[in-house]
Order: sequence, then structure tokens, then C-alpha cells
Amino acid sequence: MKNDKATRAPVSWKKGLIDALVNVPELTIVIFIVIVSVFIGMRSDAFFTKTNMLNISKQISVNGIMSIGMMLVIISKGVDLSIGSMLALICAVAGSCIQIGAPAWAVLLVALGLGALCGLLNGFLIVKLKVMPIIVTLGTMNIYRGIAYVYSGGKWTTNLPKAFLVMGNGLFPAVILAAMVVLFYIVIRHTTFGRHLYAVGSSEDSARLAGIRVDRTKKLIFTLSGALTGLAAMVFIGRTGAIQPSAGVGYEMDAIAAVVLGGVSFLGGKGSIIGTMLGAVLMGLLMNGMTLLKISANYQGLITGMIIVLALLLDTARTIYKERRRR
Amino acid sequence: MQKENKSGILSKYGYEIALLIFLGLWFVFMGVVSPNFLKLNNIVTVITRVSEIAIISVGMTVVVIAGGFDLSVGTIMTIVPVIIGICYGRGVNFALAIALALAAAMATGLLNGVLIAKMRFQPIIGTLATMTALRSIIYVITNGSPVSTFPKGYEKLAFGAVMGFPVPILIMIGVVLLFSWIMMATKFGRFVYAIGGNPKAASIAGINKDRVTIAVYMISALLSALAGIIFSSRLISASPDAGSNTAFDVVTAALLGGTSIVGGQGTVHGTIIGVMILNFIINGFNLLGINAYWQMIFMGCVLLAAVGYDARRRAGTLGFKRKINAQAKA
Amino acid sequence: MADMLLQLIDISKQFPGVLALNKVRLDIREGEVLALVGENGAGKSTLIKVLTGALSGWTGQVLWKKKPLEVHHPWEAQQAGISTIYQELTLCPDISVAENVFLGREPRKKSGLIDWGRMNAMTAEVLAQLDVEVAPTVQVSSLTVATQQQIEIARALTMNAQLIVMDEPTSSLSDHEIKTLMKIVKELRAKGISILYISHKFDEIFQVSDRISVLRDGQYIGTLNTAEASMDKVLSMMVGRTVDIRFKERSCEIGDVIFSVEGLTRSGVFQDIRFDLRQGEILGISGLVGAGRTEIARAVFGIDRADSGKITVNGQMRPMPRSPKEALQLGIGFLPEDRKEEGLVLTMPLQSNITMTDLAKNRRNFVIRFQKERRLVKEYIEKLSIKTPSMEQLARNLSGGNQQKAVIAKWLASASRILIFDEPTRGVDVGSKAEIYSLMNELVEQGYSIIMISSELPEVMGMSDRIMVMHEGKIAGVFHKNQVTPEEIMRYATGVNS
Repeated sequence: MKNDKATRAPVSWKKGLIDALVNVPELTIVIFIVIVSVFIGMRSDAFFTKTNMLNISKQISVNGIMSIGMMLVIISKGVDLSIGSMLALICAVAGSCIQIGAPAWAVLLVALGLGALCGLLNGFLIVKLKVMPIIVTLGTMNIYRGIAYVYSGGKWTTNLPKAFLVMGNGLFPAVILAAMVVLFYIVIRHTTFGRHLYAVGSSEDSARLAGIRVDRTKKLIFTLSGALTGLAAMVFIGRTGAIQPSAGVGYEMDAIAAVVLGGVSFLGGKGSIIGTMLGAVLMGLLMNGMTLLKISANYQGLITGMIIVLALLLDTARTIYKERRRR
Repeated sequence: MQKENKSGILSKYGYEIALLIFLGLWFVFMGVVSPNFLKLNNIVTVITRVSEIAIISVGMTVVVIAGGFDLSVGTIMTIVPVIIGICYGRGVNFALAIALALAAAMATGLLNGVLIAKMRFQPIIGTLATMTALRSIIYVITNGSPVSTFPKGYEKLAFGAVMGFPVPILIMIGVVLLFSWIMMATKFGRFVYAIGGNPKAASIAGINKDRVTIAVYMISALLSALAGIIFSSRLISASPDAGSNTAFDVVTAALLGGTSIVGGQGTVHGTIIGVMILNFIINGFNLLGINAYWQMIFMGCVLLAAVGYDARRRAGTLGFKRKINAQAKA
Repeated sequence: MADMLLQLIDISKQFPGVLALNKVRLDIREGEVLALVGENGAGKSTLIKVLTGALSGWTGQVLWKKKPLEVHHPWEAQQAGISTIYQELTLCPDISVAENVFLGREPRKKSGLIDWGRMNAMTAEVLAQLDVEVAPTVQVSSLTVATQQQIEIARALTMNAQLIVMDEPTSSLSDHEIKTLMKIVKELRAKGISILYISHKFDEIFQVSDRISVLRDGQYIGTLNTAEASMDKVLSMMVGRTVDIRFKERSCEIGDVIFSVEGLTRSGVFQDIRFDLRQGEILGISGLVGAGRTEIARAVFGIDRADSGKITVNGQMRPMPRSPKEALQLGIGFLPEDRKEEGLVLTMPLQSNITMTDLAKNRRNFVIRFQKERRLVKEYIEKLSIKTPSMEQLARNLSGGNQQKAVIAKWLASASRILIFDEPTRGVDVGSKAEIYSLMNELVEQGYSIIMISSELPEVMGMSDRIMVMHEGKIAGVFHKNQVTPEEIMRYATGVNS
């Protein structure tokens, strides 16, 4: 404490910078995005082209939509490992709806509904069993994946009707993502549910004392996350043009990566949708960049993995720094 | 005061006895429904295959009792034989290759322990980080394809037998006996239960929480390494895709065997019974021709059931605790 | 005279082994500030819990504006108009001031979305009323404790509270902040809001209250009009009692100084603490909650760090122990205040708990010698009369008194000769209390030395050879037991004499 006062004046700009970086996590990502973009742009001419940008927007759409759901969950101090398996399951069921000739809007409804149902099951189990979300979703991850395989008989389906490819092509995915971003921005900033989300993540006990129905809020959070996964599933079907029960493996990790990069803390109560989107953008840029620069798939995995680790370390460092300053 | 009567044994081992009874009933059921089940060949094969998971489960049990969680067991199990294979393939002495791989495993365990004990990472996050890092490394050094450069006779480990007993089973029994003993009859074992049961009280009693924590993660890593060696010996290859669901399978077995997810409770022998039950059920499913994916669903449900039961059991205590705390502070 | 707002009639609450409240009565009138005083353990916290619906299983009646009121849930109390500001603040740190003030009752627009404009404006209004200069949009985590407390008061106001209960509100406030709070309390009273002000700080009580009610040992002693009351009268009501436990006279030779502490400081918590402990003596440490007694003990035992300080054990001076293990090896033992949270591992059997410290202390012996252990544990169970069906009984199944004895056994088994007891008989039934006292007497007769932190004045007076009184992190006075009266101890503890 004594040292602080002595050295405060001369290093104020340095401290100000660190303060900004710590308190506005979005700033860090923007800087990274800029650095990465410049780096890739210099190495590859194909990067800053319209087609490539379109590609990127399509690529980040599925992860982006799922990340919004993951963001809700993590802000409330939970985590959802089952969304990848949920995606596969929803695709499988959607696939059979498509095969019996259901119209696109009906399939969309089914996807959203099924997603919501799976999410509600997660939320219900977490609240009823009073168990850590990570364990419950570890269990449901396997259950949903198993059902996906059993339901589809392990078979792939291709040759989907044109109508379903619409959602995955052109600007559509980006538009859908943007629409979700706007919608959920409003939800978390301007609805009581959204604010209660932050309250519960910040201090569940205080929230409860204030009369908030914590259990109900948690169930709703997981339900919404599931519904978003359902939407992502439709975009996924559109993009890949195929239904496979092995879809979505590892997607929960990608969503967690985007969310953590975006400044959402595992300790709950903090995070913004802008940050999460920036995180998803950064992930997308990296993936795109690595493909353009012809980096082998294995190294891609390494780099992504390292980024997740880095993001986690940064998050912890941020928290420790803040606590030390408070003292 | 020192009554070791029958009811004492029942209350102490009641849960494990119930599990054994269940296992017995399953054997009876399967014996009736599918004649191949009770064949000695089948049973021995199952136990041999299962020995790898069993060994990792012992390590995970110790970590969970200490109040932690190790998501990286699968990737350690995978990377150890990969390192051995690649080193041997490049001309490194086999024994040295093994030593290097084990060193890598210990380093991972140490890293896990340090992240969690000293840097206060939550166990799941910390081991998630190491798991992710390891998996990336595995893919880079293997280029995505399995490694099969192992010495001749490597498969002897998995398929050899001593006096009629398959070597893996012997190793498993050895590990189980060793760690049962460690947990129940040594200071270290007591300390593990203590830091899992009440870290504050354990610390005040003079136990070095950080040291014990690091030790348990290193134990888990070492046992995962051992399992990885046996596993790769069975296939004479090390595949980078292996081990993705290991943590899940192992935790399910531990929870089923009576280990509490919040720490402080559980036994090695209980976990082994859990492993046996799960795998004999899967074996039975296979013999009955039940789809492998139904098995996935089943395992997920078992995890949820076990964890729910554990939460119920604790809720009894927790409610008690909260009440008493309220009273004590009056 | 103002109308009656709240009446508590014959409130009793029994906990296992302890009658926390015994037919307590309390009246609060509209627009008055009633101070509630009593020593630690007098029943104030329990009474508040009853009042605010946080406790069940009590008997008696609660009348609100002369009509019976059901308070079995916090929500019911809040709706009736009773708001509570607890010592541990109940705000959500990561959201804004306005959101906290209106948490769960956010004003909404016709569209269903939150009406930020109205919410911020109403918050700004109520903050202005309280003279709090904080923007409604600021995140609560960036505010000081004092300001957070003011926000809780603001929240109570927006809930149209007619009675605000403040539980030790100034324990974390600076002098200046306390002045502000006093002003706020007076303004609230002027608005017709009643305050139940629980505190042991006499200067505040005499400054701001209209009447003072006293509890002692779970019983209602009486109420005085502040204007007519004197500090001494209040103290004697708090403290005077018939002693039902007779403390035996000890005939023990007190030897030389075997343990002393010097210059123990941790900024903001305790300051330049120095004291000695002689062999065979019991040094009682008295003081109010928050005076820093437990914090000193934890620093001495190596659990928490101190900024500076030295200890001398058996003639050797050294810096403060940096870990419990170090303290153990110096021969110090520490029985924490909260035996369930810090004293025992409840999920392990009694046997393991008792031998834990001994095992931790000794570097050798990786394997547990079971026979030796059983013999040792049996010895202590008998010596301390721990009632248990077997030594394998899980610690959580023992009663409070026996749990405490188990903790004592643990430290005796580790051969620590300097023992620090923090509230040794809290939550312990009368029978076990007597046993623990005679045990402590036996220990000092055998040459052990004990530092006893206690909030129970009879205990301090009856057991200690010397008494050290702490007040706000400093030593207020050290006395021989015959040189001081309970009232005087309270004086020093409440800072009246400083």
C-alpha cells in the first residue's frame, strides 16, 4: 500500500492502460482482432476479399449463435457441455422431418422446440438434483449424442431439398446471427430476466434474498441456450447440406472459447454480448486465416487450444489483478 | 464403546454390499438370458479390457476424494504411448522412451496440481486447460494418424499371462490393493480425505494442503500413463483419437462406487465395483445385441442418477449443517 | 406518545442444549430509534432472525400495529414493512446501484422492458434524500462498504419500510462515515420510520436512540429512556447476573513466561499487540466482536499473515509462524471459534480427527500404526469423557459439547503445550461446559498454558488468571482477575475509558 502512493503519479498512463485492458475486456479482443487481421492480410492476398469475408461470416454463424446461449449460461455461473450433442440430435430429428416432406418453417419450429426441450431438461436436472452444471451437462452430453445416433441409425443424410440450404448460404447466416445478437442484446440489457441473469451470477444468495426466483431463472437460461442451439442446427444443416449424427463434436468447446475470449468470466455476473461476438469473430478469423495460410489442420487444433488456455489464464489474471487492487 | 458388531459392518459397507448384490443379480440375469455371458472366456476378457479404465479410475477416485477433478486423464492416457512410439520409432532406446513419456505425464500432473493449488484455478477449468493443450500437442506430433512404431513383443504386456492370470488384471489388482492400502492405512490417505472433507480444518490441523493437492494430481497422471501403456500394448498402436470420453467414463464409475463429487468421501474398492458393474452391463448389452449408442445413453443416465443420489445424501448432511451453523451463531 | 409499531411478546427459541431466547419482549413505537444491547451471545442475533422471518421453531407472538403478524419467511417480513440491513451486505456486486435498489421489483414500461429512466431517476431521488453522492448507474463492486450500506438503506426506503433493523451497522465504517450514518438515522426517524439499532457502541447509542433495551443470556432485562439512562446503568443491566456455574478456585503455581508476542501488527486489523503468557496460567482475552481477538490468534498460529511481529517461545525469539505446521512445531495449538467449519472434518470418524494433528506434525511414520492409534484415542476419549458409541463414529454425529471435546483432544494428542482456545464453550450445553472448565483447570495444573478468547464475561472472570481486554485492534487494558469487575471490562471493551 505504501508503495502505491509513491509511484502513482509518474506511471499513471501505464496504469490507465492496464486499467482499461482489465476493466474493458472487449478492448483486448479488438486489439487482437486488429493484430491478427493485419498479420493474415499481409501474408495472404485472399484475406481481404469480399468472398472471403462472406466465408468468414458463414463460418462464424453457427458458433456465434451457440455462443450466445453459452454466454447466458456462463454469466449465470454455469456451463453447458451438451450443446454439441444437442446440435447433432436436433439435426437428426430435423432430418427425419425433412425426409417426410415437412416444410421449412415447420422444421424450424421443431428444431427450436426440441432445442428448448433439451435445454429445459438440463436446467431442470441442475436445479432439482442440485448438482454442478458441468457434471449434469457431461451426462446429458452423452445421452443426447447417444439418442442422436440411435435415432438416425448412425446414417448420414444428404441431398436435402433446396429450401433448407437457404439458411446456410449467402448472407443469411450472418443476418440470422445479427438478428440474434440484437434480440439478445435487448434481452440481457432491458428485460428483468436479463438483469436477474446477472444478479444470479453475481451473488446467488443476495438474489434469492431479494426475492428473485433463482431456480426458474436458471431453467429459463438453459432453455434459451437450447433453443439457440436449435436455430444453430438449422443454419448448420443449411451450410453443410448434410445430416450427420457425428456433428457438433467439440462445438461446446468452441462456444466456451468465444465466450471466454469475449471477456465473460467463469466466476459469473460479468460479460457482454458484444464481447462474445468479438470472441467468435476472432475465432473465425483465426480459422480462416489458418486455412488461407495453409496451416495444417493439426496445427490449427493446437493454436485454437492454446488460445482457449490463454483466454482462461487471462481471465484468472484479470480477477487476481482486480482483487489485489481492491485491497 | 468398541463394538464391532454386524450392524457396524453393514452400516460401514452397506453401499458396497448393495452394489455387489446388484452385480450378482446382473450376472444371474445375463446368465439366463445369454449363455455366452458366464463363459470364463468372456468374463476374463471383460476384466482384462476393463483393467485400463479401472487403473485410471483409481487415480480419479483419489483426486475426487481430495475435492478435485481431473479432466485430463484421457489425454494423458493417449499421449504417453504416443511419445513412446514416436521416440522408439526415431531410434530412442525403448526404456528411455518409456522414461520420457512418464516424465511428461508427471509434468502434466505437476502442472495440474500447481494450477489448482497455487494459482487457485477451479479444478475443472485447470484440467480442461491442460487437456486442451495436450490434445493439441498430440495432434501436432502425430499429424493426426496413429503411431505404430513399437518394439516386437510389445503386445506381450496386454496379452501375456502369469500363472494363468492375464498381466493387465494382475497390474490392476496390484494398483487397487496398493491404493486401497494407501488411502486407508497411511497418513497421506488420511490427509487426502481431510482436505476433501474440510480444507480449512485440515489446514489448521497442520496439513500442507498444497503439497497433498499436487501429489494427488501427479498420482492421477501416473496411473493414466500406466493405463495408456497397457492400452497401446493391446492395440500395438497409439491413436490420437483415443481417450476423449475417458474422463466421463471414469467419473461415472467413481460416482457410482460411492465417491462424492464434492470430496471427502469415497473408496477405491467402491470405485472398482462401480467399474465392474458398468462394464459388465455394457458387455451384457453387447451380447444382447444392444446398439452401442444406447449404451451411451445408458451411461449418461447412470452418471445423472449417481450424482443425484450423492446430492440427496449430502443434502441430508448439508441441511443438518446449515441448521447447526445457524444455532451455533446465535 | 407515538403509536405502537411492533411488539414481540414472550418470544422463546430453543436450540439443542441451549435456550437462546427466553420469553423475550420488545416494543418499538412509530418513529423511534430503539437500541438493542447485550453481550455476545445474549440473543440479539437470534431475536433479529425471528423478527425478519429467517428463523423457524420459535414460540411467542409478533404484533404489527397491534395485529398479529406471521413472519416465517423473509419475504413476509419485507412485505409487512420490516427491512433488515445485515452485517454481511446482501447486494449483487456486478450490477448497478439502481438495479440493486430495485432488484426483483424493477419498474417496467408498457412493453415489458425495464424502464431505466424511471428506475435511475427514483434511485437518484432516494440517494439524494440520504445525501449519498453516487450515480445510480455505477457498479456496486466499485463502492466502499459504507456506501454499499447506504444503498441497502436506500433499498429499504424504496420498499416503504416502516421499521429498519440495523445489525451492528458501524463495524466497518470510518469515523466520518459513522457520522453520516447517524445523520441518516436521525433523518429517517424524522420521516416517521422506526429503527431497531443493534450495537455495542455506546457513544452511538446515546447519540441517536430514544430508548435502550437490554438482553442478557436470552432474557429481556429492561428498557430505559436514553435521556434518563447512564452508561453505568446500562452496563450493569448487561452484565449483572447470578452465576449458575461455580468456578473452582485453582491452586496452581504460575511459572515463568514461556510465550510472548511483540509488535504484532496488521494494518487495519490490529496494532502493536504485545503480551506474555506464563506457564500454568490462563490468559483471558475479552472484547467485543470485531476487536481483533480471533485475528490475533490466527496470526499467532500462522493461518493468516501479519505485517510485522515477533514471538518468543521458550526463550527463542523468531518471526511469526508462516503456517499452522510451523506453529504446531513450536508447540502451539489452536482451537478455532467455529469448530464445524474449522475444527473438525465432519465427514471423518472421531478417531481420525483426534489423531490428525499428531500425524501432520510428525515427519516420520508414513504408515498409520493402528493399534497405537486406537490406544491413544481411547485414552483421550476416556480422559475427556467424550460420549460416543465408538471411536469410528463420524464427527458430524457427535453433539456440540462432544465435538468441542474432540477438538481439544486433537490438540492434546499433538503435544502442544501452549493452547489458544477461541470461544471454548460456545454452543455447548451446561453439563459439557462444566466438564470443559474442569478440563482446562487440569491442563494448567499439569503445566499447560492457555490463552482463552471469550465473549462470556462470567467465563472470563471465573477462569482467567489475567485478563486482557481488546478494543478496535488495540489492547485496552491488562488486569489480574482480582483487580477488575465485569463492568470495568465492558467499559474497556466498548472504548468508554479510552
